Amino acid sequence: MLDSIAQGLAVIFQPGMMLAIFLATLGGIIFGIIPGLNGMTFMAIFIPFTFGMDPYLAMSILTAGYAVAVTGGSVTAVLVNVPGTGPNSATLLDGFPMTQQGQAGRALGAALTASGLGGLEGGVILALLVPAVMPIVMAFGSPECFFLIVMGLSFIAALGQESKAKGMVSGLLGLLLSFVGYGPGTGFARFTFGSTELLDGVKLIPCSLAIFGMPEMIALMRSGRTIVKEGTEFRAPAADIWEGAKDVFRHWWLHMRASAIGVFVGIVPGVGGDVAVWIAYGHAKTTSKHPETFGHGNVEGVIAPESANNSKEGGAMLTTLALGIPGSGAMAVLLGAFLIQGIQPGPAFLQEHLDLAFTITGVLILTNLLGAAICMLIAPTLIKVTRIRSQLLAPFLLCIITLGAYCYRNSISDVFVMFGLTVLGWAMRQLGYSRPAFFLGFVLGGLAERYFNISMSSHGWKFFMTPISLVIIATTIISVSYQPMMVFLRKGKD
Amino acid sequence: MKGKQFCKYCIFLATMAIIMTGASAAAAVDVASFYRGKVVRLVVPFSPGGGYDLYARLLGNSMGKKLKCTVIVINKPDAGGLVAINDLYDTPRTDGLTLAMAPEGLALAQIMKAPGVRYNCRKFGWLGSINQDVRFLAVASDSPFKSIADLKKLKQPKAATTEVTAPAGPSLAIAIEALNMENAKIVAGYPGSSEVILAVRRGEADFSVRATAHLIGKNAFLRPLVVIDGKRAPEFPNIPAITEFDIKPETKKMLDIVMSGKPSERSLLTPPGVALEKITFLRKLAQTSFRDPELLKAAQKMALPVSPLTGEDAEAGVNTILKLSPKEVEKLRYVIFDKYVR
Repeated sequence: MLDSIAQGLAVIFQPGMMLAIFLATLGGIIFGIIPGLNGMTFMAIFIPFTFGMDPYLAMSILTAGYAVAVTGGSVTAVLVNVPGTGPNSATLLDGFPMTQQGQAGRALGAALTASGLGGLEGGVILALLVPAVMPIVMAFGSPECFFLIVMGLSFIAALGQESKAKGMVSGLLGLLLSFVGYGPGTGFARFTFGSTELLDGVKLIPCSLAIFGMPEMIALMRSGRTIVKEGTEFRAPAADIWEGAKDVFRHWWLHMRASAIGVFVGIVPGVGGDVAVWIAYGHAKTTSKHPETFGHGNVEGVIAPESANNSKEGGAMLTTLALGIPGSGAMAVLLGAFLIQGIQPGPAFLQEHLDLAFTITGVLILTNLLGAAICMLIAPTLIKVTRIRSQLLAPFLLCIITLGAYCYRNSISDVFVMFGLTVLGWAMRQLGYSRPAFFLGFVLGGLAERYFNISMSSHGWKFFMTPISLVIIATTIISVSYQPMMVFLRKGKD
Repeated sequence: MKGKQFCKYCIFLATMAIIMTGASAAAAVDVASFYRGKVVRLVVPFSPGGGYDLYARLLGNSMGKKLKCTVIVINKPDAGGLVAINDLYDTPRTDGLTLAMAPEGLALAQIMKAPGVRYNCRKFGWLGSINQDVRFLAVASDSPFKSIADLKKLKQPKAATTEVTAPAGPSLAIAIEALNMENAKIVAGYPGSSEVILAVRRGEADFSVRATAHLIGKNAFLRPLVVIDGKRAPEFPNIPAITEFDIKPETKKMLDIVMSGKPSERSLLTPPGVALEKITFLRKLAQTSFRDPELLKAAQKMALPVSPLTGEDAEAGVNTILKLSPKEVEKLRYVIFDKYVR
């Protein structure tokens, strides 16, 4: 065992391998920064080049590029309110307001440190949890997945900032949009207006760009000013970034909890990273001492999703390597890359290729730290974007956003969908409806429906009567009612 | 005199044969030179890294070398491959530089008028299939079920699948019908194969239909009970083929339909309107590539089985389905969509 660990880790520190990891990390960051491209696209593009490559080198390149893309994605989410990848959507809720207040460096410092450390913890937990992965995966059937998703949906109420009613309406609208396309299991199409392009539903990236990115760009163009509000005092970027990094240590307990949420949700196959970040964000808000400042630039709202964002890869990788079961679409692609190398992940893999498993774990940890360090180095330059006049910046960003919507699936229909939804996003922004609640409903609606159908079909109406389901239900009720109860009790005392 | 005439006739025939062979060889040379240095797009209707993608990349590599051209694989993973196939049907590119790898059940989806189908299978050029997955009715490897009889003893045996319309869906419903498991129930909607396998393994469902790759190896989560094919599989010689069971004649026909629909799986397609000589040329090329030693070696390394099928056979299999009467289609639709999805 120790030999395998030593061999696996020694491979990483060979000069050629280090160079490859560095270049893949750079590539992954670029893929993350560009909206529409993500870690999965990175793997899809580079898989053909791994034919005939040494398996250690091939898997290290793919793992490095994939894992660090979400770190790059946080940069655009924080600076220009455009999520670089899907799981960065929760980061912009507080990251962008911080940027508008002249705290872009602090937000980036917090996001990147949380990302790097989250990835580190995910990697460590990946190595430690190998013996426990099978019981966890087996314990989470369809009812448990359903209630986990319901827990995520319960944060819709928490995300409605000014008005709970508007938050609920927004969440329901998001749910409605998630039902577009094939019904789960049946193959019957709903709400597609006869369009083949909508059969698979509205895609996450065009929707997030339309709801968050485009309305902000329109607002920026109308204001004619810079992203940072006028008259804001600037600190030296390096000091600001350092301040953000220190924030993660100030909120270390939140960071650890969010990382644990990420790993845990990552392990459960079929739920996915997009759920992890929202559960982490919702959890941060409901347990915060200042929930009212969330959505207005609270650094905790940056730390929680970014920690979960990178740590979830450890969890997803765990089921892929240890069980041969990919926990997400990207992991299915990675599984294909293993097959190209003639390696079949699964229980036998850990016995036969334990050194490779540790190489991948080591690369996962190293690339997350390296990615965060690279982004921090370029951050002071990137922050200057927030001081460019809107007449110059907005048209450029609009082009990037449109290109992002297109290159997500090489589909022009996604661009039309994005422009259509931009009207909704703009209207919600102007009328004060909660866009995060809408997006949360959209992300989780399809999954909730799917697992509800399966649970009802396989277990009947008593499907909630499993110990884990009951624990999740109780946790959801407590987390939703905790703050109103405290307010009520405080009023009673007064 | 008669002998002389016969000789003349023979000479005429021989001359014609030589001219025809020469002409066809010249046409083949023409087509081959057309492809030299060009870029061929091979559209895969699923995501990169999956089985379809890996087969396509192996084929693209082999065909590219033989044609002395560049074959680029383009992934269009949408609506179970429907968007890619619709796009291929609508494409104005009839120069033979665009190919696609067909998903299984293409003809079945067409006759059942599945939502979104715009294509007509008769109009594609069928070049041949590199492999058709053999499917098995499988239970959890640690389950007490040893035979179909054991499953039938359950009050309501539950079967897990992704979508009833997905490739494994029709096979599952028809296998249940053929094996006379009247009380069985299909639980559909699992997001992917992994979730289906886990559902069976953890007992949420009792069985499913899976391909060979999910059943091989000492640590496989599932164990096969029946091969859904006309013959036993070499990997599992002790597992009976479904045709060894007593099957009602009307169900046997449905089973044949589902099994004869398999030739469309992983078959290379040209869009409608491609010249016949190009299709003939590409069919031969595909067959050579399917047997390319380099491709076979790489496929073996990736644990990808190869069982080639000619373009003519693939087309014939598809046509069998397209010839079904409306009544037969209705019966098929009832069994696949309604009868067991309760």
